[in-house]
Amino acid sequence: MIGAEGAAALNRGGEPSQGPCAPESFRVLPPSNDDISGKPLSHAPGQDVRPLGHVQRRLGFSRLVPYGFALRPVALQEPLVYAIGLSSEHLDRRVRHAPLSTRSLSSFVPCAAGRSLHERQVHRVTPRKPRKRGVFVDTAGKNASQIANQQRGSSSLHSAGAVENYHGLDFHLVLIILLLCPKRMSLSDAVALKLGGGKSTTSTQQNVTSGLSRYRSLCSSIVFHEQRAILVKNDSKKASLQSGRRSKANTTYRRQSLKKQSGITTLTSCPGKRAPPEPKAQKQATPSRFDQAAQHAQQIPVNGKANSFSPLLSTSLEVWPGWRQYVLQSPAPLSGLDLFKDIPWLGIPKERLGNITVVPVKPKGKLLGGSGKPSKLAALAAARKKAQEERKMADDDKRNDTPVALLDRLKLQPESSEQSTAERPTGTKKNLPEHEQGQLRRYARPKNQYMPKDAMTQPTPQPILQPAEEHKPAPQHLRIHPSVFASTMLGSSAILRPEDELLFTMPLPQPSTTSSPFAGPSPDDVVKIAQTKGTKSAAKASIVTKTNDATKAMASMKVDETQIQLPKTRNKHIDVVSAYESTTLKNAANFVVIEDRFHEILQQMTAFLTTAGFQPKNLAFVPCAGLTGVNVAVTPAENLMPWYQGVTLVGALEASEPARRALRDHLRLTINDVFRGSPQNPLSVSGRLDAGSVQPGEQILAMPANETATVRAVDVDGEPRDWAVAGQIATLHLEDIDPIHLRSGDILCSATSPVRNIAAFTAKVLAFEHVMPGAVELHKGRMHIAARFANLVAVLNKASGVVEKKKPRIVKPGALARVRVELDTALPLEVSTRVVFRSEGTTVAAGLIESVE
Amino acid sequence: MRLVKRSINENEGTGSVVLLPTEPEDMWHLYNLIRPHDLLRAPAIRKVTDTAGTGSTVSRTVRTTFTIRVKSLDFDPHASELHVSGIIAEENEVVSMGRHHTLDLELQRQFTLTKDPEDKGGDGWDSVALHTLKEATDIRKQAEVYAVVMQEGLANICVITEHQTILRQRVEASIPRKRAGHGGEAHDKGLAKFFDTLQATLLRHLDVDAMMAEERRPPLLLASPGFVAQGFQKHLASTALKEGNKILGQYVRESVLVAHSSSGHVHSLAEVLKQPAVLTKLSDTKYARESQALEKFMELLREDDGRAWYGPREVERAVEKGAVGRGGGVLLISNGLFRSYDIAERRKWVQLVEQVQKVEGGEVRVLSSAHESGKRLEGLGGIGAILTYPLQDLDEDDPDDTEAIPVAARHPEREAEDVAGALNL
Repeated sequence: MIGAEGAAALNRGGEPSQGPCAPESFRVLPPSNDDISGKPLSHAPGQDVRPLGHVQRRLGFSRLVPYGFALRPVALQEPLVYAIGLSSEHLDRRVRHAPLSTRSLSSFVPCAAGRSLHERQVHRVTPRKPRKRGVFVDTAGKNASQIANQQRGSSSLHSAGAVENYHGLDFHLVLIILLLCPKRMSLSDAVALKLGGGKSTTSTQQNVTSGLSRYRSLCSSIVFHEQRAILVKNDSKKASLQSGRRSKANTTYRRQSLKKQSGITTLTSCPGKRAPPEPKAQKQATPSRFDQAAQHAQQIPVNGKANSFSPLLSTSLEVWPGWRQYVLQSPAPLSGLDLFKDIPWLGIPKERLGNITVVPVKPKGKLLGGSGKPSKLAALAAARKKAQEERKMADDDKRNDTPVALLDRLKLQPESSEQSTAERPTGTKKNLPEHEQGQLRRYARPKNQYMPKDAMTQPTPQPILQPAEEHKPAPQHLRIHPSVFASTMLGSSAILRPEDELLFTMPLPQPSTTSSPFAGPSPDDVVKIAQTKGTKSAAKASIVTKTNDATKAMASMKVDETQIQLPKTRNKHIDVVSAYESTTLKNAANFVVIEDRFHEILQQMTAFLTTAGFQPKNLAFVPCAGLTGVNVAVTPAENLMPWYQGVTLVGALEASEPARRALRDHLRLTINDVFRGSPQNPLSVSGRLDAGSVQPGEQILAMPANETATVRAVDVDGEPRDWAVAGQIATLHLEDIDPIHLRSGDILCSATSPVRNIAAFTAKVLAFEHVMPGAVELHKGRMHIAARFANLVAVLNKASGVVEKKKPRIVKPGALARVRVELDTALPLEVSTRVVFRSEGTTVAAGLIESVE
Repeated sequence: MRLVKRSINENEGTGSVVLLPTEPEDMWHLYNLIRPHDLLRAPAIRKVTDTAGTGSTVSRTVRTTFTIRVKSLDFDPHASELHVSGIIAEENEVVSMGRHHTLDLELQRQFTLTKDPEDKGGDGWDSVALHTLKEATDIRKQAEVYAVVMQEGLANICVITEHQTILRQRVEASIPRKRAGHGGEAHDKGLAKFFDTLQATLLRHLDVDAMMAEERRPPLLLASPGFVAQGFQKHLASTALKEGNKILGQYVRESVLVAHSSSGHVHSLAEVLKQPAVLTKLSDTKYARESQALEKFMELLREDDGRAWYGPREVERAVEKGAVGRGGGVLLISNGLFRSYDIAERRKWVQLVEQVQKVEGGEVRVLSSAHESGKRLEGLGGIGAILTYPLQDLDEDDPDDTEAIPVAARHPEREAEDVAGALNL
């Protein structure tokens, strides 16, 4: 209970100089020989020591790294930081509002924020109630129940300011302690101990697994906003000397050592000033190799940057005499490797290793509810790639470099037929032992080395006996590079153990089963067979005892497989022809010109078009075959269409009159768009020429603005032309006019005979909707203007144009009428201009301007 | 408008009122209330030229009060100004009787209006005048809606009040089209510039800061075909965000209503205000009621079953036959008819209204000619009626049949073809 005394002393006076600490609290336990610690430290140098990153990855700790810095090189550079992690207090969000006591803080130096913590204003808090789980107590030699009892019972322990910070430490702390503490304990054991609630380790693997899953879930769910790395020291004077800021006398250094005893992780702690004098003397006498190495490491910048943790490092190097003591006891350590030679995880028996498999992150499902399967395209691409690889591999096998090729020939001669199919996932290599498979795969890798032609074409048949081991390819370095500290301590010769690769083996895409997947009946067949069998021999099935194993059942099913009878389909004996004749189904034919259909279309369309105002003499109906081109250009054979005596489609088109354009009239161009054509032509307009012609240099008038402009250039179909005539869509590049005078819908006309702006006109319109006096919009090209039907003059006969009724109240849809239209603003409109009237989104009427006012 | 003093003998139609205009819209009411031959006494400013005995003249501006007999009225809807010109009808120290003067009625300056049917052919305080007076002096809070009817390159900023739709500003811009090979940059640029112009113009008319400070939030209606209005709303919101104008942002969020219209012309407002989403905001306004009545009339007219008639003569005949009476008879009449300078014509319409209202028991709706619905009715001759029973041939034996119809000298046979060709059928 020395640690408890120390803690109580802290609590009492706050001065940690009350009595010397018992030296046994500093004793580092020698490696025990129980099953947990594993075999004694007999690993060969260079084989056992791995950088911390390895462990980190193995435990899935990489998830921790983004949250904090506990496992960053800080930890690696400071081997004396042997208590790094999080207390459950710190994980608690309340810790923000209940800061640690000054003293306890001063005894803990968070590894990154530690230096500023001393400057921070912190307040003493009342001791909190102890937590049941994850408690460190300084009761070496007690069992779990005793500790638990003491914990619940003794308030003195938890009221101690310093200890208070310990009692909340949970497995985070444990895990990380183990990563860094040179103690003889397997990592998995410790995890199991801690996460398993400190009970005995009969089912260690299970505990490890469950504990790790808990740990991971915690890691992912908790924001480590108060992450601390706790540095425990035992030499305050040294520290205060080395760190000018840390000059406070009450800075407490303590030593902790982890001890595994009877399944309980214990922490031995003691106020720092009780540190025995012997280690100090030893330390002063000979600076340890560790110090030297660490100082060396301090000078090496990490990633080109200066080591920001170097001051901490320098202070912390000297503060744990325990390891020095241990080192001194060790027989002449010559390298940093020896420092860690009894690190427990290096010598864990296989059966004790936690089998931690990292679940690979599956790619998300595809869009539209895809199941994550590759798309057809991707599958095709993959298949193509695979085929290419195989082909290439076959080629490569032919011209492999000599030793390997020879070796292959030597070793795999009897299986040469299977060699080409070795990479197939169909399990053709079932007869190969596992190590040979591995070799096969390794040798199958293409090596694009130059081969002499003769060697390629004429492979030498003489086998050259060479040991296969010499051609082992260098193991891939999947791990991160060792930290500065690690490389300093271990040299650059840190070698990875090849068997460790197994830990990181990702599941291969190839099925690991050696049997052919299609050998047996498919699962569907099994089910079907079982069902049919069950119905057939229900009585039998009841007799079959439950002890029948599956193989027996399968065998019997296979026998019955031939006897499967699906329910029979009954024949209805329908007279198909009569049934077909009685149906009213449409005759399905790929291409048939039917006379009736033609006449039906003709009648309907003629009726519609006549209603719309077209005269029958102007209508022509031509049947023709789109697929074969019958009657398109060539007159069909006599007997093909006896019911049609007209012309072909081409003939009908040629008979039609082309649109007459008013080429000799004056220019009229309705502007479709006003834009900046190019830097050379800052103002361009485009539109169809309704009448007349235009050429560069001509002066034109823009209406309704009544502004003149000069045509700079004329483009037709995107090419500069010397002229444009009616019917063409031209782009005119203008000059001598301000763009504000031009809008789309305006009219460009010749200056000699301009269009007049008018405010009212009479039009003859065909009504599509009810035409009543009221507001409408007038559209002409892109021109649109608010207008109104001022009065309905007359309803006209559609065929003859004779007035049928004067002053109609309303013009019905489909009727021809003469109306008077007033415009809100005067616009350039002319007689016989076609205009459209729309209202509320529908076309009300369309027609021609008859007269303007 | 506040009614300061009212001394009207309703039986005789004589008497006078003292009124104090308080809002610009009151000028519209006065434009409908003040009729030729009425006596108007109002403060005035007159430049008086005195001629001394020596022949020299001295001009001075005198503030005085004139009483004029109204001859004509001039109403400026944009500025909401009413100029009443007439002949000075009362002795005055600066100007002698019989001289002409034009009174500019001003806000917050009270005046006296006297009507007397016996006096020189004036029409006195008839039912329409009393109705107008009642409407004008209604103290209820007047609803007010701002509306922007727009399409690409054209926007009309309007204010819809209880009795008027005032076109405040028309914004036009040339927006280049999207052209093949050039992307839509010029179009987007043109549209953004158009939006900028429109926004600046709108915010000049719509003082959002002042309105929000007064806790007055007239809804702003943005109506357009397509997505122009949505685009402009986004433009407003983004401007508010960009400039950190929280008041404008709040106004845009809370009070801007986007609706569909078929075009950006003002008359599309009628179609906008028919939409249910908009009607909910305006259901209580006179405008909405007028629109609904006219819409019903138009619907019956389309059916063409003789139950809806428009035009002065047809409606007069229908009223004569007692078809606009109890049980669904509605007389729609634009108040533009009552503003006729022809006293006889005005009297005719007033009598028609009184007959429908009092004798026949029908409903009379006086539509404001300053509203879009009133304008539509004016297009139909300013008067229409929904009859209680169908009547045919009300428009027959028209004496105006001989009206000359200008017809272009074209070949009659080709006319039908041309029309069909115009439709590109």
